Amino acid sequence: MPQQATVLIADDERPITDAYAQWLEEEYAVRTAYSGSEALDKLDAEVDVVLLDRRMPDISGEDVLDEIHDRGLTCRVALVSAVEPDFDILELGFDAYLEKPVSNAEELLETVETLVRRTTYDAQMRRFLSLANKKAAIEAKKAPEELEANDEYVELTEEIAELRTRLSETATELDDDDLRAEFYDPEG
Amino acid sequence: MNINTSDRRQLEQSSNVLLLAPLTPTGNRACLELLAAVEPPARTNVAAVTYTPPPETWVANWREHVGMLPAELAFIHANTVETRPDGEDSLPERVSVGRVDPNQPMDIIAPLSEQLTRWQDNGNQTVVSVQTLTVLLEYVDFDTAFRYLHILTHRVGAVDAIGVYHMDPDVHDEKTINTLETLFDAVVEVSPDGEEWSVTETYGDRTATSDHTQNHDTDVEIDDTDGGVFDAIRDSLSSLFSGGDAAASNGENSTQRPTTDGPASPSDSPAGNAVDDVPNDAMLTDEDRIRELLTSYGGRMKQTDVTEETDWSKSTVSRKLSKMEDKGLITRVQVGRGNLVFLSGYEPETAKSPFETESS
Repeated sequence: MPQQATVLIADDERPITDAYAQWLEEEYAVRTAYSGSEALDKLDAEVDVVLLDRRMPDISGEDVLDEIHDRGLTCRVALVSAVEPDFDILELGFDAYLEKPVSNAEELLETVETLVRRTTYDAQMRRFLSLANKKAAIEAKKAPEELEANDEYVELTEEIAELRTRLSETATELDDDDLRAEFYDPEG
Repeated sequence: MNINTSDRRQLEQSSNVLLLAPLTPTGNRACLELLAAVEPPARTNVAAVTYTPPPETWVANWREHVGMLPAELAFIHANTVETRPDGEDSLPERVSVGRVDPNQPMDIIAPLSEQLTRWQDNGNQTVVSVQTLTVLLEYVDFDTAFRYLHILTHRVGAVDAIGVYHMDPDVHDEKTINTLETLFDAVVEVSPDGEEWSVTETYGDRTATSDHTQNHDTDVEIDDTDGGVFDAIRDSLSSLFSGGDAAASNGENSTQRPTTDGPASPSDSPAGNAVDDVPNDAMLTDEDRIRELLTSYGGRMKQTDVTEETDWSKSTVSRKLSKMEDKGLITRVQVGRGNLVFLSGYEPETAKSPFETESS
């Protein structure tokens, strides 16, 4: 990965938040929040993955999630909760579930890794689709001879080809669970 | 096929073909012939993802246009309605059919991937067809279709298979097609009469055999419609499809005519009836005639093709179809630039209904 992924950990129990941070900070850029409102302050487009405690005194995990959706952020979110939810995680809009307390660094790292993989694919895919749209729009406007003389078009074509290769590498890592999350349709 | 890892990597880059051909018997045939052009059927595994015509129709068409069935054949039929056209033989036992929900891309990707993995070491060339993207786009929105096709093309490439994805260029606007093209290694375009084929590499400098860096069109024009076109297209495709396998230049095996095939003689295959036979039959009502047309087209056709085939006026066709729709015999769906007509039972039935899934 060219750039370290950013993980936001939100839990009102400081020792837990700090322990998670310690496990993750070697591989990821880590942000910590000790309340729901602090989590909202530290959320921006840079954040790739959020570990979200379900019960926080000021703003609950669910409400933070709603805000994430309202802001149109594309991060993937793991729900951390002491009670195993009796509903489908995906239906609630979460991507993964971690049972609290997470005592095993391995388990945490694995979950974060999965979610980072998905956001990486999402981001590359969005970029690829937007470039493909752009290319198609130029093609619709210009004659084939003109295209080869068009610098923007030539650059675009190269970028698409390069991105396609990277996307293919990312897709190799995706398993069926990742894809199920990828194609999960909240209105379905 | 024994190929080393670097060849393998090359093949991964050149294994998915977008087929732009009409939703007509000619276009359907083009798709099958293209599948058969990769390797002789006796050495081919075919996984067919189908949306509209049932597997029985597919098999009958293959027998008519290609001949011998592929060594292995599996269908993923993305249509939950059971439709078995009358008069067609049931499928040979070794042919497997999975029926899946067309609205759920994973329902197609997961079983297809399993099938591809099972075949990976059986020594045959695996070919995947998706028929058709035009109907697929009725079930899922464009962005979902784009991501779904990306995953499909990726998985096809990862096992050194060849993918053929059929789409009617007339139904969609140019921008839709151009956007989708970025997912494929090559685009094969077939003219409405099936006479003219052109091949364009999407990423011009990608294939090992390519000696040019910009997009390059190879036009293939042949007046002999009887097999010659497909032999020629196969020759021009062989550089894309194989790392120079000897079979690519051996024309006879893969285009056997139907007469060489055993049980299915052309006369007892309703899907194979020439469309022009229909008007001469005085016993047919207009509605029967439309239904026969639809059957011969594979259960779906453009409304403009109905007008063309019948010589009725546009408004006559529209009136007759709307009557048939009232009776529940057909369904019309607005797609892109026009209407698609589906035979009842073949239509994308749940495409727009948001409250369907209880089975999760």
